Amino acid sequence: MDLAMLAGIQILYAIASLFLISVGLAIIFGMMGVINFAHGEFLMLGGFAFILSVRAGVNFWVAMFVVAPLAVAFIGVVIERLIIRHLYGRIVETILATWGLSLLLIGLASSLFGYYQMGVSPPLGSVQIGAYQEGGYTFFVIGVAVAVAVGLYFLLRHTPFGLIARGTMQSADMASALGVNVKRVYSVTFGIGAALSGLAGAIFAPLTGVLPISGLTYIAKAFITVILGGALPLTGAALSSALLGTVSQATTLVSTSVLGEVMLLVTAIVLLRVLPSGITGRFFKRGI
Amino acid sequence: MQISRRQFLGYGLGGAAGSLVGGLGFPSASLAADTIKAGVLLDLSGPLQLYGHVKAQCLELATEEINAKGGLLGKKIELVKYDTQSNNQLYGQYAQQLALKDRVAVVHGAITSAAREVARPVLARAKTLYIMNMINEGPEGACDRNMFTTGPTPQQLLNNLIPYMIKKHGKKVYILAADYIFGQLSAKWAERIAKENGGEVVGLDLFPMDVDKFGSTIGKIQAAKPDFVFNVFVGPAHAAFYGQWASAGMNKRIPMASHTIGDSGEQLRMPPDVSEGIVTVKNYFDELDTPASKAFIERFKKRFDDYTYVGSLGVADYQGMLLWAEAVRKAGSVDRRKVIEAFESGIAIDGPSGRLASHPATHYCTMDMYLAEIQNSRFKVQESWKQVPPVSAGDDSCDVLKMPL
Repeated sequence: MDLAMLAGIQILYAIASLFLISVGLAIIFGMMGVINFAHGEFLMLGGFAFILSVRAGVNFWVAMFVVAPLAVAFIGVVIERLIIRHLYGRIVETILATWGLSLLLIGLASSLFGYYQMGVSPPLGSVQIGAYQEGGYTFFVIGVAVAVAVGLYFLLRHTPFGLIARGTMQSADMASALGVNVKRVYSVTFGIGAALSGLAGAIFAPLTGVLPISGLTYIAKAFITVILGGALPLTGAALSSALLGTVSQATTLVSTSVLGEVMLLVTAIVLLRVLPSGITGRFFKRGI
Repeated sequence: MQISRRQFLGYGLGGAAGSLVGGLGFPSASLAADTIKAGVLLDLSGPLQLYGHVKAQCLELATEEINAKGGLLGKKIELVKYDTQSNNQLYGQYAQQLALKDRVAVVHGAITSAAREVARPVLARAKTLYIMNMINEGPEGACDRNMFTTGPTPQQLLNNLIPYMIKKHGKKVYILAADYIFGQLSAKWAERIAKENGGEVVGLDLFPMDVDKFGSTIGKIQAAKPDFVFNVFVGPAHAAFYGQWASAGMNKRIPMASHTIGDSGEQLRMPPDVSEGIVTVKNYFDELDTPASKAFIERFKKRFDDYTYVGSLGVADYQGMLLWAEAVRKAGSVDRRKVIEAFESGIAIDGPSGRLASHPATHYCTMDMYLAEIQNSRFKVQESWKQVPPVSAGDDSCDVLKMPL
């Protein structure tokens, strides 16, 4: 019984992790049609912003929820202005440019921060579940994922900005004709996506540490989740995280973590064969 | 001036023949020159620079010290370094280049055993001596007459560590290891040694190098209820385990032993409440309180201004260079055959880790070993053993002396 509960928590945690690492990418891809290959590096920069500011004496939670998202959002907006803006609608060029950007950011981080980063231990102690102990931080990660999902839903569904953003996403030309400053909407959306990536990077930094190449461990899973999710950023990311997280974690629990990763990929491949435009390309078309 | 086709062909062939003769005429350029070339294959960029940077510094320091004392056979040693960029493919390419183009007398290098297995056959084919300055999985992974290994084997590390943990904490052990030749064979040795000492393995998990989430593993370990956990973690991703282990509060309940922790000074970077109490065995710690070790660290600090930690991996390179130089002195030549024979006749040096002596049958080394526990982010030596051989007495599974030279 205790073991089943522990397994359930592990599965929820796997879902929450996938959702957090992919939601920033999903927003940028779903709302703007931009494939951001430097997404992993946004997470890495969030992690560095968090760790460096904690070591500089900033409060743990302030560093995580304020410093890291703001720092990465700022970098994101600058990158949007300098690079992405000139490449809207040109998918292949965007991929090339953001891939180059990814290599540049890894190189910069290697020479500025290096591979000798100090660690920060996760707070919140541990929670007793029957005979077992689970890190309190695990529950915190699940909570943040839920809060991010609810917050995004509210922002996109119930605020004027959400309405304009959704309108722009459906038809940029029409939105522009109605007097919406499309460039500004794109810029803000890119900033929000980057901020969420920065937040995710900061959340995982105490658990895994941060290295200049940390982004590479996230990028493949984030892309698989987003592509399987399909066109709708929030619903898609949430549904495909739930599916992939459950499959891979359940496999890991009964066998090994290697097989868990294999099952994640197999599921994604099979589903994309059946649903080439992702889950939300077929179902839940009216969501966000 | 007009050149007819026939003349042109003539010039061309003549030139080609000339360079061919030139190439054949001086087959061992390094022997004729006034320096002795030693090749270095280390990852100075990419994730493995974490280890490669300090290892290259140690080779430099040893070379400079030998040169300052008059060099080797009256000649200076010149290092020819290639950055393998944490990319195993480059080991093959650069090993070939060192052997055939630079014609070095010896190659020091490789960090992972997987990289070693790329360079080793290339160097064997080119009949170029190879020295691997690393802790590795022992002669079971590579038994080769053309190669010397100056780091410790699993038996040197675990023959003392596992019985110590069993005696102190109990007989049930859970093993976690990196999923490649070094991790797999080390885990196998740990299992064998645990069983020989009345222990019982209640779980064994292997992880690819990029796994950094261990939540389900920590759950499984709790379900298996071991008396202690032994790990063979490798690389920065695996280092994430310790934080997650501590976050679940397990570091206060189940003791942890590892023979890989601290190889890049990670005990200095881990939060103290995470690292406290982890036990390890190695042949060298910077914290070693011997005159030779203290003097070595002083010399290192004086030469390089970015000192953080040398550790056993770096010292293996420093001592590997000294041991090779000793073999060359004894052989009176850098000729591969003579150097191998000198090594097999039994040579020894006194380095920062104590006495390091060649072990002829395996081409590994006999060395002093220390067991330490992390206290306040530093290794505190608890026990030591003098002159531990690389394989247990009576183990003749590897005998390079039977191989053709």
